[in-house]
Amino acid sequence: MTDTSFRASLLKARPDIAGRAAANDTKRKLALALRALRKRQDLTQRDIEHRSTLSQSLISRLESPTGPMPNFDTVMRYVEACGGHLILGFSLSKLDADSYWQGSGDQVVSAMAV
Amino acid sequence: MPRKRRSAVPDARRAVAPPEGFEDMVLQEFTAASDDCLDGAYMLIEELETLNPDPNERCGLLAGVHEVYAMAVPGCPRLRLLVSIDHLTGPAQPCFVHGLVAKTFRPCDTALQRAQTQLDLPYQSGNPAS
Repeated sequence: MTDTSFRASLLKARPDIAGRAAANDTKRKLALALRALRKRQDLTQRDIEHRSTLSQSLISRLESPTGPMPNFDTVMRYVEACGGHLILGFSLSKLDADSYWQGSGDQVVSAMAV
Repeated sequence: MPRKRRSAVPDARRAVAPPEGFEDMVLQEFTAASDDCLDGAYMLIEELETLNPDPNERCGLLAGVHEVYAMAVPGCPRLRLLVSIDHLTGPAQPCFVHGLVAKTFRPCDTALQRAQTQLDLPYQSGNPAS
């Protein structure tokens, strides 16, 4: 393995990725945070489907980096199916999600900042 | 005692990239994908730096070292991302990207075959996913 920056190569070959990622920044971050929570619990999408009233297609849309933002109730149902909890905070300073959850010990398993 | 995190890469981000000599081939498959598929695959590449694929995406184990996976691509139901993870090289186990294939194209068989070829592993059938 020589190239440790495959993502950089992808961005160079298809610069349009960055534009769409920026345009869908909040949705993408939410998808990554939800998937991280599910994976930390060693659950699959099918497990979430069985543990909730969410359909497979809705779970797929929740975990997609693009598309409309889900409503809050849907997010909560996903989080509860993971056996997780959610804290919603607001700040007047720019926050870094990685620093937030890494600094929390085992209390926070994923976070998003916008 | 902290809860064991089987799905997470311990302590560090790992390298996620095609095997040496196959960068152009893999890159070509990515760049040929539709916008939705490319965005989903790009997100998976980022996620794989810190998290493992789902256990039900596992295809088998090659050479007792390389766990091979065919991963569903978020927002792109028609493609699978083929990867393998060297689970013996710690702590940041490298993840090899073997390409993107159609879901209808026997993704697990293709993943095992490509991993074997691209990593130059001796022939074996691989252990089927449990």
